[in-house]
Amino acid sequence: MRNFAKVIMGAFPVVLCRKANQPHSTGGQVQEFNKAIRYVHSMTDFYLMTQYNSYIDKTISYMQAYLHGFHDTKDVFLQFRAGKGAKKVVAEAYKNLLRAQSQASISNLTMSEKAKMHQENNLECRELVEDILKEGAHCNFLKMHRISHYAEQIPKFGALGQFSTEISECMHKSFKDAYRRSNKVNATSQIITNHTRDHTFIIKDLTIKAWAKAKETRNPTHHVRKRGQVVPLYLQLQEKLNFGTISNLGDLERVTGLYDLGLVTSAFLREELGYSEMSISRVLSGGI
Amino acid sequence: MVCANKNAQLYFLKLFCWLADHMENATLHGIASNRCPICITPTETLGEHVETGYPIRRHADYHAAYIESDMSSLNIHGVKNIRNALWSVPNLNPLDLIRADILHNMLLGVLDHMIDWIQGFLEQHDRMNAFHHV
Repeated sequence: MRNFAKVIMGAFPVVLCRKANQPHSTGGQVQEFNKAIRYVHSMTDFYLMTQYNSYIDKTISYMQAYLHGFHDTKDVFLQFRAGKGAKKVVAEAYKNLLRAQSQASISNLTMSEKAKMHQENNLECRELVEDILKEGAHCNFLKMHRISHYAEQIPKFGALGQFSTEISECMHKSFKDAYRRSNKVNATSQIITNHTRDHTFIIKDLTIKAWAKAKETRNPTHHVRKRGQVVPLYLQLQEKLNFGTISNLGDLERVTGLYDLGLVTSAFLREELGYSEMSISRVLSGGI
Repeated sequence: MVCANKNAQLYFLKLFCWLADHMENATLHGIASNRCPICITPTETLGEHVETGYPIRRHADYHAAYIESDMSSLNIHGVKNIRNALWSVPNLNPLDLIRADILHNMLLGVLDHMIDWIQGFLEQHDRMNAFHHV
């Protein structure tokens, strides 16, 4: 929608201007085109001005002018702004007219007369539809009204962009995604499961990264033989761990295949936590 | 409240703003969903541009009317006959909570309508192909 607002002002007049292979625009059409262009112009400019980060009295007065501009020219589009009620009325009237016309045309006419009559009927239909649409249409909807409050809100509260609900609506995104992935039956529990799963994966990712970083920067195990990359090791661990059979650090070393675990632990206790040798040996020999 | 520098400070809590889309605002302010939460514009003239603006809502009056159960004056302004929690918040004019909601109002609202209108307009004047071409 943002991009639309940026390009429409260029594209719209180009489409309306006459090209070699297009029919000639009549005088009435040209007037309508001018009005429509003015409408689109004021609307896009108004929208772009709502995106400003700061305002002065002059810019606010510009905004008011644009507001005025599109309220002046909105009647061009009025017939495309028919409510549901008006559309219903149109459909009914159209049906009635067709019935009346078909009853009228039962007499025996020549082909050319029939064609002429058909054309007239079509014209009649179109006029009727346009009339009803114009009567039933209105711009009395709320969004049209709310923008007229913008100019008075800016001096009171500041620029408009900061109050958009856009940021908070972004939070809905993960839930909407999760709902789409569910099978839509009993979706709440599925959404929660999905969220938990995503969350777990994020945490695991972060853990792996933290390990890799710790190994790179501090490398507390430089005197121990290298056991390859951290990441495959982690994946390997995930398969093998079975905590039921482990009672002390030696068992853990054997089960996981991490033969430097005791050394790393003692290095960690000594360097990071400042344990004495005696307390380290007590910790290592003790059960987990 | 005692501050870090041992001085006693006075604090005043104030509800400053409440970001919400229109339906949330309507629920929050107890107003019919087809009415403006800021001013008393009737539904039939929402599309008109009035240079002077409409008089804004006065929630103190609504509170009084609610207590007297004066249904007619509430209905004229499109206010629901329920007790509004915001009336009992001190130092607050509920109108000050309302903020412009650009996402729903401009991007998904007025501009969205404009696309429909432009499409209808171009179809009527046989310019739709040219538009797609551009």
